[in-house]
Amino acid sequence: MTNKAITVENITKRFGGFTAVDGISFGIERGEIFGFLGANGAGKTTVMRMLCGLSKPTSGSGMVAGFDMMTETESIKRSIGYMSQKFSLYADLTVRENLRLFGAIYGLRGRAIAVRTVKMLRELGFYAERNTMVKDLPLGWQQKLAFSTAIFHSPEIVFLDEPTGGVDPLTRRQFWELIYKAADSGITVFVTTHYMDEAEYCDRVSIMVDGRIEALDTPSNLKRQYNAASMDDVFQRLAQTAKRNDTI
Amino acid sequence: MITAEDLHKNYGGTEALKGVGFKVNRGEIFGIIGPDGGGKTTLFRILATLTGADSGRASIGGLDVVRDFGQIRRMIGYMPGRFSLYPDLTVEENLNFYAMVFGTAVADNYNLVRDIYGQIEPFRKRRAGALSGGMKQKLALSCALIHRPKVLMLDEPTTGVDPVSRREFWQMLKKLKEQGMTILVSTPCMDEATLCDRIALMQNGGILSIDTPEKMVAAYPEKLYAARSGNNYRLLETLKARNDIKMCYISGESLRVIFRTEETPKMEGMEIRRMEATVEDCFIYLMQQ
Repeated sequence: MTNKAITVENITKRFGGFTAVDGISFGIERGEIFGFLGANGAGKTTVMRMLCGLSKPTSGSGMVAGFDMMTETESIKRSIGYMSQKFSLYADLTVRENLRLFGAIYGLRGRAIAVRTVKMLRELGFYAERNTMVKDLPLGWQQKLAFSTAIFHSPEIVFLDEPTGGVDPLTRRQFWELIYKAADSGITVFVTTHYMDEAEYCDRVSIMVDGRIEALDTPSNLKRQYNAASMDDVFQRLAQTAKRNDTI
Repeated sequence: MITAEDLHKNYGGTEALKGVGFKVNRGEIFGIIGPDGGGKTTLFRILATLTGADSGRASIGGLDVVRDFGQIRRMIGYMPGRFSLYPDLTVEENLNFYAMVFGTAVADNYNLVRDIYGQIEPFRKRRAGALSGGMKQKLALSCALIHRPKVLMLDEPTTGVDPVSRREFWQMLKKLKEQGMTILVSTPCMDEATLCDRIALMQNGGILSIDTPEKMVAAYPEKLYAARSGNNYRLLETLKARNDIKMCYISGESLRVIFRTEETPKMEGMEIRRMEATVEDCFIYLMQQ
């Protein structure tokens, strides 16, 4: 049993004549928090879709949660969780109904769902709100709940697609504490974000430019390597070399 | 140039603004910094004469936002948070439309928008709805500027915009300021605070603090330390359990710690160093007071 949650070797994805992802390779350790950065149009979404089993690479090979990206996409889907800020929970369902729905979709039994629901809501301090509709919760609570729902079925890997915009700094930190806690329990966390200060919370970070991974290291090493004060400076340095831009 | 005095606004049972007041000087970039749901948009809508406050007063260039709303609308450029151009009109048609509504022509004020509009002009025949996020922002800013306003009000202009476009956007604001424009801008993003001349930190309908970013940071009342170890989560749990710690939270690659005691405790595997507070640290501190 390898200790890698994700390994990707020389993956390429073409759409007609356009090479969206151009032969990338990387590995992510189990329990690692991995930040996946890139300007609009760099190919982030395409990579994320392939890692989630929603599309297959044109060429190359890779394993996600122990399953083959080419042939076992259905098993991959069952082994991962996904959260995005734009859509994660049903606003017109209550907290409990959302958990029941997502738990059932991932094949948990009624009793397991009930037990986990109580445990999770108590840990979050949300138990009193279990019958509140999600749309009536503050944004910060919705984000914490969305993350907890994404790991409700104990996935190997959780994908977070721009998870924490717009909340106050304390709530954001509580959110990151949940992420750290999940990683500490062995869940691998794959995060995309446009906020470079958020990238500094990750164990390692990769930066995509024009379909390739141009940099991959810990935030401190990247800052040292590019002689930059912040991840934003590192990012700007690399993004300037892009030939594609977001007008495509 | 902009004054707000004790503004209150309720929606149903919710207090969106609980007595907000500040002054913005001519030719200044003034940032309203705070999370979503804090009252930023309500404040902008009152200043842009789109809704009335329940109580309190506000004026732009000496004109009252209620009594003189017609005059104010001609002198401000307002860019709402949600993309509000016409998606079925082309880039060019949108700009012409806004110029016409304000009784001017694109050619008259072209020099003001040239830097910004020039970047999207190659796509002038494209429908606005088909533009990327960064390009939409540039078009929206061009449309807000085309009647040469004296005051620019930008509600979360960089939300959802990638870091490269975001940096470009702030560079444009700086240029506009140099041309004498007064700019009120809001953002939930704490690291954009330092790009403003002065900032107001806003939370739950009230203002926590108003100052220049430099003075705000210098006024941070505690000794702040950065601590890190091989496993910051475990370190956080350990530190939280101690009673000589006043405050402790994660922040990027290290934890921020405030001690109750003068000397810092030594712990195996923990690196610790003194550090200056950021605007975000100030926000967190003020939220807890």
